[in-house]
Amino acid sequence: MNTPGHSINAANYDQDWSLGDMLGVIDTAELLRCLQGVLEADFSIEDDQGKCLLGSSLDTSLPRKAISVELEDIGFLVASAEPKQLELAHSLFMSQLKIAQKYLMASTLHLAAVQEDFQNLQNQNEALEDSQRKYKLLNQQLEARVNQQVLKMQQANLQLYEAQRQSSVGQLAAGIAHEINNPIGFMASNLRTAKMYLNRLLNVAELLNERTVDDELNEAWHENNTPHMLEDFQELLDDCLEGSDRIARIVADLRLFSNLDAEESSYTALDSLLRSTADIAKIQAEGHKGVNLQLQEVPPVLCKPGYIGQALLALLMNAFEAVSESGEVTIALTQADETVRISIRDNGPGISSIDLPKIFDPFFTTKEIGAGMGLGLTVCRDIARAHGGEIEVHTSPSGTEMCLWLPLNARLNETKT
Amino acid sequence: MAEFDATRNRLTIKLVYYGPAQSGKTTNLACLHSVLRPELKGEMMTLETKGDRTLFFDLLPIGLKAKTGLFVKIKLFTVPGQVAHDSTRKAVLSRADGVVFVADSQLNQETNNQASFENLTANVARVGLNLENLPLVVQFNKQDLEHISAREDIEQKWQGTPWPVMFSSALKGEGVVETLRALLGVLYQRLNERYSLAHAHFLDQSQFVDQLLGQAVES
Repeated sequence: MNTPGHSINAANYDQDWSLGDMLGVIDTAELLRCLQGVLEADFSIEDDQGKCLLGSSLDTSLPRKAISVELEDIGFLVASAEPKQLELAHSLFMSQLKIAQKYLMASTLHLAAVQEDFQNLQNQNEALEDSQRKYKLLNQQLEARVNQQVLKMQQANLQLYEAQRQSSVGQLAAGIAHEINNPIGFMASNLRTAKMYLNRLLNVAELLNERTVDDELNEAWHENNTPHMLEDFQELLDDCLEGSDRIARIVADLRLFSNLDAEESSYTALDSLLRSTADIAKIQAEGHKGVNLQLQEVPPVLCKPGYIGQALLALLMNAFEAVSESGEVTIALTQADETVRISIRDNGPGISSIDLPKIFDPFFTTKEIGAGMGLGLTVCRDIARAHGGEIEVHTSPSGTEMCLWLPLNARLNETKT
Repeated sequence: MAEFDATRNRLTIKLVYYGPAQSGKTTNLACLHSVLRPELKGEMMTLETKGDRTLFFDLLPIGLKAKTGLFVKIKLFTVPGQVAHDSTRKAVLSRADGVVFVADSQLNQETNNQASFENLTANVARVGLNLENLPLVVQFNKQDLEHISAREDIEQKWQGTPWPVMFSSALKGEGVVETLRALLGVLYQRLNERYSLAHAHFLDQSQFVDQLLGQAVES
């Protein structure tokens, strides 16, 4: 069988094939030779319209035999031959035709199946590529998100570190200020007393100068150049007083330093600030876990987060120190009209009525010297006021509540706290 | 899709024998070829196969002529049952006007039957046919063998479905003609709705079925 000479692309395998279709896939030269050999006469293969497809066109009156495929006559074999020869030639032709039909049907069906398989493969390939693209995109998004998270964590760590650093620097500075303040206090006081004593001695010296009481005493007085010494003594004391005043100023500066450098104001989410501050406080309180956070959602507040954080840290540390290990500290954040209220409540023994009026005084502390700053609440109140807010104290033998009020639309007092 | 050629007054119908590999689809056709005595019966075309397996399809054309000259040609096809030949199976199924699902009654073939039926429903949808409108008869073949599912179980299982269930032994020629008769009955209803066979061609259901089956000797 030859390669089919016509296209079967658009065909259906189950269609009715015409005689022409089938002859198209037969080696007609060979068939022609065989039919001629059997018939030994001119012959014609006609389709159902009488058109000659093979052999030579012949008279319609000649003997003919129908070519029937699938119950239908689709053409005729016409030849001027004996019936027996015609029969034989018909059989020969039909056997070739059946093979041709099988070939046509099988190849058409096969083509359809292959195209279908190919199409399926292409679809699968497309789906695969699609999913690959999606995964790639997802991967990229994931990577970006991981990077974002890493950045966030780094920033949070940095903030934490910075807050801790600020806190410890503040503590150190305040501690040093406190330690120096006491000795410089009594030094200055003693120097003033010494100067007073010296003035009295000068009065006595003047009497000695005017009168000659005793030659031996006069000689000794002038031999040691005492008048000049007394004059110098005055200057020495003045210099020392000036020095102690300078030390006192340095201590005051240290206080300023402990309150951090000037910081930019920003809209701050107080709840996260409270959380991170609570974390720092917990670390510093060493193992104290009883912190209860009751944080409402409030709008971001324009403030200097470093200062506010420091104030909160000081309040929290006080609260931790007021309660025993099993005690509880509650941090609440609420909003009332145009203000936010941060409440830090402990269930400790409360503040005594003697101490209560003094707690905001600078250097007032109930702690052992060196353990506390004595500046905590003072600084806290300064910070609150600098933000247009205030600190309130409510205390009873069953606990203390410190409330830090901040206005929502703060007009920051730009003077240093 | 039945094809009506008005100029030649001819209606061409395609019926497909579907089912798992070696359930007896070709045997069904061979049996029909030998027992049917229709008015018009063509030769059965089988494409050479290896080891009893249909590679492409088998084809048996049968036909009838109505009094009005209407020529009804019915082409009976089988599909290849092997799972691997799904594209061929799908191509054979396309444009079908009715389906005989030939299941293998043997107990160990239940899974194959089910997989093949699911494949049929999937392919019916893929070639754009609607299972609800498609004339379908289910045939449980190989009833002559031992170790087969009980008829009651099969009937119970298929009870809720709209499809008639037939039992057969194609090798012994039992139930094969009955199966085709059942399918032709459903098919006639559909054709009559569309082509008014009874009205326009004086062809009622029993004439339609009997002329096509040729009152074959049924065992």
